[in-house]
Amino acid sequence: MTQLSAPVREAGCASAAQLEFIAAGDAVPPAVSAHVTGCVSCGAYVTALTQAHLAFNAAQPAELMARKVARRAEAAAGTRRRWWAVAFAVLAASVLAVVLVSRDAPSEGVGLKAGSGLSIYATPSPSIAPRPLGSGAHVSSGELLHFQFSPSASGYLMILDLDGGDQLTVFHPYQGRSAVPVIAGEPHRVTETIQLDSSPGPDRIVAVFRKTPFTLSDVEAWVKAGRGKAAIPTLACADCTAEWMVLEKP
Amino acid sequence: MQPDAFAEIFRKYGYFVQRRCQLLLDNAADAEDVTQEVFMRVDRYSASLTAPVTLSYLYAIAARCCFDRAQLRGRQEPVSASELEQRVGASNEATADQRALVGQLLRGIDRTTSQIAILHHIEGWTQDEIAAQTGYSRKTIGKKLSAFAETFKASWQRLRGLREEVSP
Repeated sequence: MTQLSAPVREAGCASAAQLEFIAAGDAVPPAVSAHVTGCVSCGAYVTALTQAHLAFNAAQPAELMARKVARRAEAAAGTRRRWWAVAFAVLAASVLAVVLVSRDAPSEGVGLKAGSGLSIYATPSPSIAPRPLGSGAHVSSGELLHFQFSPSASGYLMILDLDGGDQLTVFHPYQGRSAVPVIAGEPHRVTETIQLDSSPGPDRIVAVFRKTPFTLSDVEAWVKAGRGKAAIPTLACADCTAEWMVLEKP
Repeated sequence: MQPDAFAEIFRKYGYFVQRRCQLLLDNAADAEDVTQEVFMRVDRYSASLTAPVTLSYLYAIAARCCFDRAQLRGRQEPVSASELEQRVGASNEATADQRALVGQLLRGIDRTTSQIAILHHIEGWTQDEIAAQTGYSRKTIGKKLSAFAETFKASWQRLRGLREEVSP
């Protein structure tokens, strides 16, 4: 397609767009029409456009273009329908996942101080839905424990266990020495699953949360102070919160 | 839209829309493809149109479709010296070179500037007329056109320099 150059617009002349509107048969203000009728350069441009327009229509029949566009619109509609189907499938899968997760992680659990929350679930087998545990719950050796922590503020978390034999084990991060970061408002799903062994109970599980990083050595002595005591010790550290849960085991 | 009505609209405006697309995209195949896209949109929205289709309306859709296409293509590949020579050699008219360059530059600037530059450099409206049409202040239009002119000037100088280099 050869580009026609619009004439230089003199004072009183129409804009290139207005000349194109005239060539296309669109309405323009009467004063513009009157000017073009008497202006050589504007008139010549409109004439050139009109001729090029006729040549274009002869080379590209409108009916052919209508068929092309109709086919393309049909193909586009098919693509949109497929996308809707995919979007619906994704939505359905998401809803299903939410339902399943909700069943796996019931809202019942153990409340924590400062609005944070530790939830512990137990199941005898991965194929059986876990049950939520409260402090004083009875568990058996071989059962699997799952943990979830919901922090009300961003900070650091460590979950420890002191069994009936006074053995201290870091459950999360498993056998780690440094607390892991958690984010306010985002439930922290503990990836480790702990299988209870045959060591004597009860198991004292404590979730320690602090806004600043800490290590096992910062809390180890304090947790061990809880050995054999019926009462739960208080945590002597600034900005720390802790929640104990005692699981009875035969 | 009924096929007959659609064909009538294309018969009346197809040439002008494709011409505009070619000017903005500087590529015949893309221009034809985008022209189809423009008329597809007209067909799709025809039921909700409350006013008759006009060339002004189609130009607005064409500009949007062309910029969408330019974005899809991503960064423009640099034009080779031989392509430039061919483009420049296609016409002895400096204005033809300049219009081609305007189209090339329009693809690399923001939409407001490009809209104003199209109205001024391609459609030939004065700054006052653009202000009346778009609602932008006369000052904004002047600033946008000045910025565009600077870019154009630099590119034009490079183009002319290259043209002299490739001339025997």
